[in-house]
Amino acid sequence: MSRRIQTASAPGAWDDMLKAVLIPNRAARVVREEPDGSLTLAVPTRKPSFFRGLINWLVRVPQERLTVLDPLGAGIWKACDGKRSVEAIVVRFATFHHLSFHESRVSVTGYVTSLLRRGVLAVAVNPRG
Amino acid sequence: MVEWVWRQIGVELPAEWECLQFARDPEAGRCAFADRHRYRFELNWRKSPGEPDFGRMMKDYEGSLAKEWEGIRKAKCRGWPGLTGRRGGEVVSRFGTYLPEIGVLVEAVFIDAGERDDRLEAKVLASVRAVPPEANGMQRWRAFGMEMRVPRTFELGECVVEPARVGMRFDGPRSPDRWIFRRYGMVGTWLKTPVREWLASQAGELARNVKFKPGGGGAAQLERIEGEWRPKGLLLRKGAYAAAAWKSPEDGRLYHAICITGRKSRRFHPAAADAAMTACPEFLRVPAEGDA
Repeated sequence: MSRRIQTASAPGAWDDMLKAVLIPNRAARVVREEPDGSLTLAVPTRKPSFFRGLINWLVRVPQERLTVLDPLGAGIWKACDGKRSVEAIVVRFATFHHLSFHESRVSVTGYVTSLLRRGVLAVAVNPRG
Repeated sequence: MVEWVWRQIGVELPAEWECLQFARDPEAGRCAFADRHRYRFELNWRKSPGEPDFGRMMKDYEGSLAKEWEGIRKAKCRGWPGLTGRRGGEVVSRFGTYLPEIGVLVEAVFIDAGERDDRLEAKVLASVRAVPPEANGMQRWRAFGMEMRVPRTFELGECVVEPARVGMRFDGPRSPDRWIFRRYGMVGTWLKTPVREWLASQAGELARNVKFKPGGGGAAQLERIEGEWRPKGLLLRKGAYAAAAWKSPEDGRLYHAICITGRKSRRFHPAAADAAMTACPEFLRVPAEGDA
């Protein structure tokens, strides 16, 4: 037993993330909203610096990138109003789908990570300092 | 408090503590439980041929923990010897005991953010016990919202835990014996067919001549199928396939139990069901020899 003194502590491994607030990208716009609740979002893209001159003339970079959210993802995106903490969104998702807190946490944060990568959302960690 | 039975060790924990880490190894392992914000409890086990010298063990332990803990001191709770101390902003308490019925050394670790919660420690430690196989030869497990009884010779072969999807597979000593238990959440978002159709679609191509059996209906709308298990390969043993699925009216989850067994070792799942599966008093029954 003495070999097993490393407690699974990791205090705050997900705690900071729960306190964070998710802010929707103001530049993102809703292109389409389906009756089932799914959403199509358009996020403006930034042209990389090497896309100038001749390359710019040869390759046309789209000005917007489309992101399609399924009904579950759309619900999460709508809940990200810049005021609610991640924890509040997790609790809301858990209540709505009858999930446990950590089931909901893993689902929501996984989805949020993909939205962050696509530039649909931004994250503010501990916004009140 | 919610009961947790894993590897013949039973414990009752606050309902909001969820298992985030688990080990399948029967010799030594750990289950770690967390509340919303941090890990709160850890259950460690190790097979031991006899009761260790706890006095000496605590002394060694104290020496090794002195580097990372502050204010370390001996503690005793419900007869369990232990140590408590402060590590950073949290209080960690470790208690150990030996469960002779199953020959396992158990360590319970409590982590508190502020002050030590003696009452909760006492309550949890009082609930830690050995859960040996039942008189009918079945071993009870209770984890991830499922209560399962499997033949005691079966080993936990696989455990997959994902959001809204849990699966545990128990393998028998001889192929193809295996029992599988699954629990699904968010059913309304993905189950677009009746449970009956879904159950049949899950049987796979190795289950042949699958027939629906009277499920019993009820609030859970239990559905059952039975068939032959014919793995691809001349030398692989054939057997029987039986499965059941139902939607629990209590938690809205979909439960799926599968039993694959060799022809000569057909067994019946016990009719006695637990609180988590009361919707299905006889959720899985493999036909006996000669049972048409």
